[in-house]
Amino acid sequence: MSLAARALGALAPHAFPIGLAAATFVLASGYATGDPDTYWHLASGQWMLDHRELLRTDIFSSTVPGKPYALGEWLGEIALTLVFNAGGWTALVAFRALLAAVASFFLGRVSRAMGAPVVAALVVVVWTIALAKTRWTDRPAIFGLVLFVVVLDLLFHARAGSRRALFALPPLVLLWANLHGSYPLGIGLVLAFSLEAVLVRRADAPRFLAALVACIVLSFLDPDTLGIGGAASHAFTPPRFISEEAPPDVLTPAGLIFAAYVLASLGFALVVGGILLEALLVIPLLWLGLSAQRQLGFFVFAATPFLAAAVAQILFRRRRAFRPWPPAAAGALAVVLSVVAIASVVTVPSIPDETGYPTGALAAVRSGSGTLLNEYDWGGYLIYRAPERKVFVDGRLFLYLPRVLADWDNAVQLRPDWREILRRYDIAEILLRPSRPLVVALREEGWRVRAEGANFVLLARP
Amino acid sequence: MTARSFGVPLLIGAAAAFIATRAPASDSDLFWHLAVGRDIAATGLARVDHFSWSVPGHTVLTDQWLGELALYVAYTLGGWLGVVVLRGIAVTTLAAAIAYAAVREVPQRPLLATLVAIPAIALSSYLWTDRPELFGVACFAILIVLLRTVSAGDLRAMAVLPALLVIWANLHGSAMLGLALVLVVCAETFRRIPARRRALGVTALLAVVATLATPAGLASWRTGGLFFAPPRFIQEWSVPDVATVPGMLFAVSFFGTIFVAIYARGGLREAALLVPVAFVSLVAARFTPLFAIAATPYLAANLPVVIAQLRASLRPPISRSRRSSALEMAASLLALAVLLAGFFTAPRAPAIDAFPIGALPLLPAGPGLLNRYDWGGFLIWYAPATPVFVDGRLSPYLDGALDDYRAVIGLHADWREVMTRRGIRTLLVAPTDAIAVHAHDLGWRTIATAPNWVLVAVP
Repeated sequence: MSLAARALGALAPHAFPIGLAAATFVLASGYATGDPDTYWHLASGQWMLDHRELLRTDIFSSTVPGKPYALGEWLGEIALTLVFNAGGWTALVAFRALLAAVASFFLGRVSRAMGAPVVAALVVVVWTIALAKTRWTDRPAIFGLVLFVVVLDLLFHARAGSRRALFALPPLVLLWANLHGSYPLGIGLVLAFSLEAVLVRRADAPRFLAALVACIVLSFLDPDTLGIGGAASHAFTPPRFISEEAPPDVLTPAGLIFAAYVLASLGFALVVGGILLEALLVIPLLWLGLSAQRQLGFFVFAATPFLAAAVAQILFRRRRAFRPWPPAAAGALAVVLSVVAIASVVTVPSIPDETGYPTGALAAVRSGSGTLLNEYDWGGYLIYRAPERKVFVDGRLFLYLPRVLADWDNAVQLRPDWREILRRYDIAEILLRPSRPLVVALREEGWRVRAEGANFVLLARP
Repeated sequence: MTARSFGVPLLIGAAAAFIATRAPASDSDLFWHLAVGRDIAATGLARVDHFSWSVPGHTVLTDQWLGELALYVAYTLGGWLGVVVLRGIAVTTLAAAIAYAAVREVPQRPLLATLVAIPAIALSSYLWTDRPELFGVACFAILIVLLRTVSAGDLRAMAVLPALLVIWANLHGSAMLGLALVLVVCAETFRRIPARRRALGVTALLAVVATLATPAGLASWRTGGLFFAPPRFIQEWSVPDVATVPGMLFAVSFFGTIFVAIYARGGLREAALLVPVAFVSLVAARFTPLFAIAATPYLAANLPVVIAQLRASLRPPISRSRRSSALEMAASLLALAVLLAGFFTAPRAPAIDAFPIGALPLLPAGPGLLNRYDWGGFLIWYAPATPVFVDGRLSPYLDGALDDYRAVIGLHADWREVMTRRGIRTLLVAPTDAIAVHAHDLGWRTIATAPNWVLVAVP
């Protein structure tokens, strides 16, 4: 057997996850950066790199200057900034695609963890990736998505007897705790597997419990030690006016895929039953997914192996065992797909998509003075593109809760106290969407139009 | 099914009705339903709008005519107390049907059945309003009982189904959901019980015909369109939210069902009923009770199996009930007593403090008033000389009037153009609405005001 054939044969067992990863890379590298939070994460990361210290208080707003805020994403921000500094927007997109590909690789492995054949796993996992695509943003949150799947994969391996997989968990949780605030989900996964071990597979219980304790202890080794409380309260009382924090709408494309997973979980459980681990994983994560659409991915990831196994049992049980591809063919396919993925780097967008932002107002914003009241969704963009001006609010949500955000909403919606709010904050300019009631009222009151476009208007006090 | 199974469900139904009848009539939509019912009683069924000045002559849905007539008859017979009593009867039917579905599955364990039924009954309490919708939910609960019997191949239940659908289709538009479920369950039973195929085919055909036997005819099927494009800005059409109390109750029911299914299964027979209802419940908050209701008998039947598996020692008891007929009779009499106590102590006046009562004598007659959406029904009943701009009937306003309403009340960029085009001369809105704040800033004359409303003259 030639060396090439041996190499392809070695690749064959991983051909399915490699193929998924390659396809995901192509998919995730095809669209430009456009998330408003990306900008303030980059600005925060750059500040930390410049000053060689953690950014512990607000420096970007006019409303809460100096106010302390959570540090749970410091490492994620620095990582994104380093990537950006190395290769600009192109590198950021390629990095996002790489992370998404890693997630898909492990998702491919997870999808077969309950014994599903490749075809059944593929039927389910393509929809999982389609839904996950909505969460591939250029923020530290993407580290959470990747680590969730990696930890899940390790846990399935540990459940199958791998001790190395268990040892890898605590360092990963430590890393996760410093990359993004979603790390309690990782601990939750370990807890679910530990509970199953305690209740069903008692011989494994000590090892899983030890891993659980180690994960919990190490999760405290971050600058935001008690951040878990904040993250938990956030899940219980999500701010509904932010679209990604709203409950999922099953009549939207992403919501429909989510609903399909929910209904399939119910339907397959009724038809073929399940195991305790499925209940321990799927039910809490379903609650999380129903609580806010930004959390849909976690439920879908966790449900994937169980649904794939059920699909195999229902749809493919009458067929004979699938004949596996020849190892060389499977390995070759993985290689070809990987080459295509690498080649797709040349198509990565090199500039961000800023069509949703007030690009036409930037010059006027920079040259203006006084306190600016801005659209919530544009805060991050302004922090990065117009650092000369402090923002009123931005995507760092918790900084502004409850008072500033309530004042912002009351002013923008033209509630009875809007004049008092504008006076109290000494607002000199507003940069909002033209449809806002405040814009309509101020125009009629003679505020000066300094810049205007189809989706924005910059008004200055006369 | 035995007569002895009715005592506990009736008692639960009566207790629910007692709770339901503590609240006075106050639903905004009640008033326009009453007005429609009054018109039906007086002049027959109106097929075009004559309550608004924004869409006069627009075709209106007639899919709730019987429910509206029932509400008006209750009002005629007993005033506002009559409306509350009708609500109590509907809630009794609803809660008793939910409880009966559970008790029938485990007649030897009435306590377990009651506990399983409580989340569904509690969740249904968010629909205990004085609207035809409540009658629709009661019909849904009865349908669940019948469908579980149909899926066992029972011919009598198949015969009753079309009759239920005829009544339901004339009470409320939600009968379309009933029809869909009947067809799905008939198809699944058709596959499983070959001996009943002819009867099931006839049942399905009669069910389709039954939903057409309404004054709305084929139009009653089109009401389902709103289901796929719900107006999310109306609270009851918003997405289910598990951070709210009803959302949590729904979650308890849903997660409980998944958990039980993982252990006890249920086969395609249960999936055919529960999966479609689950999807409906995920669409909007107002539908969440439906899943809880549909899942109750499944949970009651299978919870003992799960408990047995978990404890590995218990087995679901198979002995029949040993309760005596005397006890059943006593429970039924107690239920009647509770029900009557609820009716006799129910509030006799509506609670209308949340509405702009003080503005009523000041409203100008004829067209020109822009009113809050929530107050439209109230004005239709209490100020018939002043036609409304919008009200809870929703569908007539979807062709543009609702957009214009939102443009004015939310002070959108085109609010002045809408005011001029529509000829709006007076505003009856909340003081916190953007248009009210701006009208005040512009110095428009305030005719009258109160903490929750303001009447403004447009110059």
